[in-house]
Amino acid sequence: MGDRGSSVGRASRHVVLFVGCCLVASLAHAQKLTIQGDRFAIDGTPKFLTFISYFGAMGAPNVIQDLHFLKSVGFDGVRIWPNLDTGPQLMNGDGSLRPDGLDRLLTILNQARQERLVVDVTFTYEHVPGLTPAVALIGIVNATNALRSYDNLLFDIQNERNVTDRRFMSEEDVGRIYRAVKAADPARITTADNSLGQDWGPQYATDFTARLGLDVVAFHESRGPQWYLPPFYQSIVRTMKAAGRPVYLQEPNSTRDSTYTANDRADYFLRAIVSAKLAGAAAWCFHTLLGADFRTGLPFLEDRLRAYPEPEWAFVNSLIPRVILRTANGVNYVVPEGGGGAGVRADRSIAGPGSWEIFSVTNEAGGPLVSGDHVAFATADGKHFLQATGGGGSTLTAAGTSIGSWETFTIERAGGGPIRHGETVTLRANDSSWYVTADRGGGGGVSANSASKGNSEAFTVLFASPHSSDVVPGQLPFGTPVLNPKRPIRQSDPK
Amino acid sequence: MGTWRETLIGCIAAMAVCCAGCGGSNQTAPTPSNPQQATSAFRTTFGENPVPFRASGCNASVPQGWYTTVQLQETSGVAFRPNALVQKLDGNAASFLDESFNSRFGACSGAAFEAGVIPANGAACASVGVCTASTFSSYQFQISGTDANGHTITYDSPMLQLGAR
Repeated sequence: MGDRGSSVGRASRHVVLFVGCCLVASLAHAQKLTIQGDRFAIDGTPKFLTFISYFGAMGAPNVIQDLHFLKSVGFDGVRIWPNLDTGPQLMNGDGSLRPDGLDRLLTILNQARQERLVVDVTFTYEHVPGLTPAVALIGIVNATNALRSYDNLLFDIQNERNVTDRRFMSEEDVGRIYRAVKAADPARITTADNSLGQDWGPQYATDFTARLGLDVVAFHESRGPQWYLPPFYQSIVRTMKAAGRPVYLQEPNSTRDSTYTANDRADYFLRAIVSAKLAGAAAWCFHTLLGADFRTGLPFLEDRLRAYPEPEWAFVNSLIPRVILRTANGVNYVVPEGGGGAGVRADRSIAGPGSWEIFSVTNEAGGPLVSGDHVAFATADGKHFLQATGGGGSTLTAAGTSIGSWETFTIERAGGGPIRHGETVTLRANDSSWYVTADRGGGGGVSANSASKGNSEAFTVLFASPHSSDVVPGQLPFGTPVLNPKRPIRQSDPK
Repeated sequence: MGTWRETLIGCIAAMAVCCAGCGGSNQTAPTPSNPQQATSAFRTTFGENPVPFRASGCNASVPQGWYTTVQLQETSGVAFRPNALVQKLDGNAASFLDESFNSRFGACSGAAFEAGVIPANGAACASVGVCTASTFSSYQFQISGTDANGHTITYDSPMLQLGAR
């Protein structure tokens, strides 16, 4: 017995140890969404977040694959509607949580956590028969308690709460629910969005947020013909930032909505998101309804997006920019020797075939590239990153295998602003004073040891991925962007 | 004995030159610093030859041109360290294809790559050709360098025939 008991004890300890290790591994992998002033932060680092509408997640047959795809192409998060009636619903009419709906939601959230995606959980009480704003309070508090362990979420109490149809939720009801959520879980980031196209809309949303003490100004802006341009975003974001909270542009113009203009090409959305970021927004959502209803049609979100080369597929392929760095002599590119894992040269010919000179850019600041962002350059072999040896003041290699301070560069352009196709930039090793420099302005070596910036430190950024039509004037036409990178064959989610 | 040894060395050297010639390429006589030691030799295999002109896919900025893969195999069991690459179009060095060997050549699929070295019996691979709207009829590359036995070598690849536009 003693031996058996001891054996059982050992086994138990092993099980506990194993579970503990799994828990630690899971938590280590998870990410935490917080607020720093008027910005969102991921694991303590401020970041502009790019969401995509994925309202029908509860009914999506391949949510594991969908979320993996969305992360792989560069989205930071998804906006889901757990009460939508195109799939299992989270709530009953009495505010209790449906076990099957909760299981489904937890599956989605676990996968999102695994993929390090943020989830905007937007409630829509109008989709649940019998649910009223008063009862929705019970349901949302139940959801708050059930989801307390998830750090990668934010709650939107009611979609377009101000619209005076079945969506309407009074300010008093929103306030009651917000206080109840905070009582149940003070750390839960919570808002309620307004949809107002009028000129006074942004001010209304700002005041509404401030009166109720909501954590985020979530806004569905006007969808007029200027919706994607900088002056429009500067105006509305400036107004809403006065609340001192993150401004989350949750539903810009939707794709192919026949009511509105300027939504048929990715170019509009590319210009919109950079306008939003430059204006100081904290997050922006690519609003497509392709992920709203999976009861019929293609089962994978990727295939749905791919089915529309414009605007969806082009936009999706733009999020992780693939760029070429042309040297000042105009005829050479920066290239990792052997495609990566060794040295770096600045003598790749613009007439030579191949793609080693194309780098995939990770923007730590999130969103499209703008001057001052911290970026990392992944090499063509998919395994390495440009690395300033010693953090600068020395060689430039392509030997980095993960992104750390040595693999981080500050990309800057004169006068600031977006990094457009054809932009002349400098690359500074992280926050140091060392610039990347090409020997004689190109045609030879390249290093990260210049203490000043001049001709040899200037590089022209050429996008090989879809990019905004807002390009530097005078640039020569560029090759057709590669829209369909080969992707591994997918497996359906386990059923 | 001395005469016999010299004759044997001469035969080996002649065979090496002949073998290089059989591949349609040319390898200059190595510097006779260590004439008794083996010398790097190469075999070039293009993915396709002749290669057709293609309207797309050459590189990101110039989509049209002639391009194919090439494998440069070291065949005599002596590592080689290239220090220069010359790319020629219609027999003339093309200044707009001035590149270092390491910028053009890398590991072959599934193999490890040590920058600046073609291992003994190893290979380096690349995408070669030219991305252009102009017309050419042949492409060739030339590498120069030193092998592990100290021989200075210049190797010319076989001609890559560029198909009609």
